[in-house]
Amino acid sequence: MSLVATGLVKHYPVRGSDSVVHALDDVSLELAPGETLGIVGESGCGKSTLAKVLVRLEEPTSGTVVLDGVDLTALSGAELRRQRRRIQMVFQDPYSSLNPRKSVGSALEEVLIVHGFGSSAAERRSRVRELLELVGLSPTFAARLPHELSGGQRQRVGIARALAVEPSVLILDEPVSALDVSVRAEVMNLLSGLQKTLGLSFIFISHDVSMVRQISDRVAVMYLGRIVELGGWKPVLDEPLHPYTEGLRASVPVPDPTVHQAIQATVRGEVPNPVNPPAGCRFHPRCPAAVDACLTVMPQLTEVHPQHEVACHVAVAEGHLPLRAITS
Amino acid sequence: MTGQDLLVVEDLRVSVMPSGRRRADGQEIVHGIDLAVHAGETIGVVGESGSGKSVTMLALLRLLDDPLALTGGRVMFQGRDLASLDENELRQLRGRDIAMVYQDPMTSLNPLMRVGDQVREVMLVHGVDRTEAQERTLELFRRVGIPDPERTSRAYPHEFSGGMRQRIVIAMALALGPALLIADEPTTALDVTIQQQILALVADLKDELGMTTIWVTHDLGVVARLVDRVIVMYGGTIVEDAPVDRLFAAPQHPYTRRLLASLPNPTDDDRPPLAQIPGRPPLPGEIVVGCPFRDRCLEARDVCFTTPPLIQRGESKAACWVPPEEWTS
Repeated sequence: MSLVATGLVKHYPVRGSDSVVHALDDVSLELAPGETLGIVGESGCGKSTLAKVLVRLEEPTSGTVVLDGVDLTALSGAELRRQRRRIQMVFQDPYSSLNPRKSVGSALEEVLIVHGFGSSAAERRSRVRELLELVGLSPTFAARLPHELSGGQRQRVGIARALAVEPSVLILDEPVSALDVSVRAEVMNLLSGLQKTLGLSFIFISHDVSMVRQISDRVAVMYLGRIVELGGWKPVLDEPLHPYTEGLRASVPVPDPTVHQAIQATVRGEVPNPVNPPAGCRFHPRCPAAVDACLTVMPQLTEVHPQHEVACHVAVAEGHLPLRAITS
Repeated sequence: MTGQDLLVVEDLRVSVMPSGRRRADGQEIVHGIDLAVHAGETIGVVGESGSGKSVTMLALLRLLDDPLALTGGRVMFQGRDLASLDENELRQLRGRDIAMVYQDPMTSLNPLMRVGDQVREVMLVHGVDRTEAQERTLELFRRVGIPDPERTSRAYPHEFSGGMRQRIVIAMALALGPALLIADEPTTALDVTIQQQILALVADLKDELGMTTIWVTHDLGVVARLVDRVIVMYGGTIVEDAPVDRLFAAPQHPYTRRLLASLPNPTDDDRPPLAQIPGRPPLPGEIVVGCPFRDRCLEARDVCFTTPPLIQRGESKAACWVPPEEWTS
């Protein structure tokens, strides 16, 4: 495994009270070299907090993140900076993380300097050209300012910057969500290509089920700070076991008018307040299949089929998606 | 198509005007939109950023702000030319006959006012009496799925989630029973399960009230699920206008075809690389000779240096000189 996260918990204090926001609650995952793990969920499910904890932009309340055998959560200072280089993040809008007065070239060079890459200015400039080429931009882009770039070009620069320090793992947090449909295809294909040529592992975080389905080897579905389903992309997204995954999937409008799509709400109500999450299964207030146990006992991820885990009392008991969740 | 034309737009043009010089020529960003909306129809307007879809909607309501200006064309609503109305009459029309819902509900909500009062105010301004406005507000809240209206109508916008705020805005839009609802990306900022609830609500309301709706979106999934007819915009023009099933089954414009091809197929287990459209759309205001898609089009030929009009092909209309049977790709 290149990345192993175990029992990650992240609580944020609520100002002026003793309560906490349960952003992440006992999340464990593994990532093999060259693999893409998709993480899908809606606002408040903890997917962005998970990203930040994995790269240690945020300190976990408890739990560990081990990268190639090194426990990142135990490190600090210079050693952390040195190790963290191997796990890099790409954000939804790279514009917000680029200095508007700095050219693309000098932004990339800066990253190389900070991390001690390249012994001379000439060497670094040639590395910048290489990086731009790697993401499909001509070397002339080095002189451009961020506002002169289109959304797709900016995201390419964001990817180049993440690759500058030669990471083995990329955390991609909604990398194509701000892009237009036709540009999305380019960036998705670029990511797949880079993964093959550089042997990278990806954690691809998105609310967009269709993009997660396109790129992932395995998929984790998150709801209110917990992973509720985990397994291969096909079983999880096309034959889900958790009523929430099914509801999420059925809510995505399919771009094909010949597919019968009932316009009715598949998941009732809204995501509860993470300060005071429901007892038992956190999805039970919205779940069409909930039974008594769901109100009091929190379901744990359980392997129902080989390599396919689900945290749902009913699905575990029946061995398949609860019937009521499909029919209601 | 049955039903009367509720809204007719002819050769609508919008320009960005240079500051301080109102007389000077601006840069045109919407290049002559022709559109007829039948009563009871649900229309989807799709396009990528900069295609002019939102500006067109603001222009037809005469809601453009500096430096944008309406520089040509005619908008007829229920047989009346909007250009003949004064600002007062226009204000009467907006809200009462035509309502708008935007992507960010806070565009329409006053953060310092109780939500019930805001919905009520829409009715009071348009001459509904107090008791009736109060009753109707609670009824609207119930109708759009806001729980416990007596209590929640006294809350402020920040006390609601994004989805609930959008429901409040929809209640406000429906307050006076408008003939036309224009919704600009109303669910884009919402989670899909909440989007699904709002789509269900709007579909119900449409059946119940026979309301005509223009739904502006970049999401072709929403279009496939919700609308009767689709307008595809590109580079400030309409490139295709077609019934929804025709658009997806037999796109008549190469841009539409390539756009549809760039979407992942949700039932394909091979997951092939997504089809790309090399190049970029013209920037708003960029002067393009001929068809705006010409530079990215695999079918382009000499005739494409002349701007194509919307040409009728079966039930569809497309602004393309080259019919699909002659396409090589």
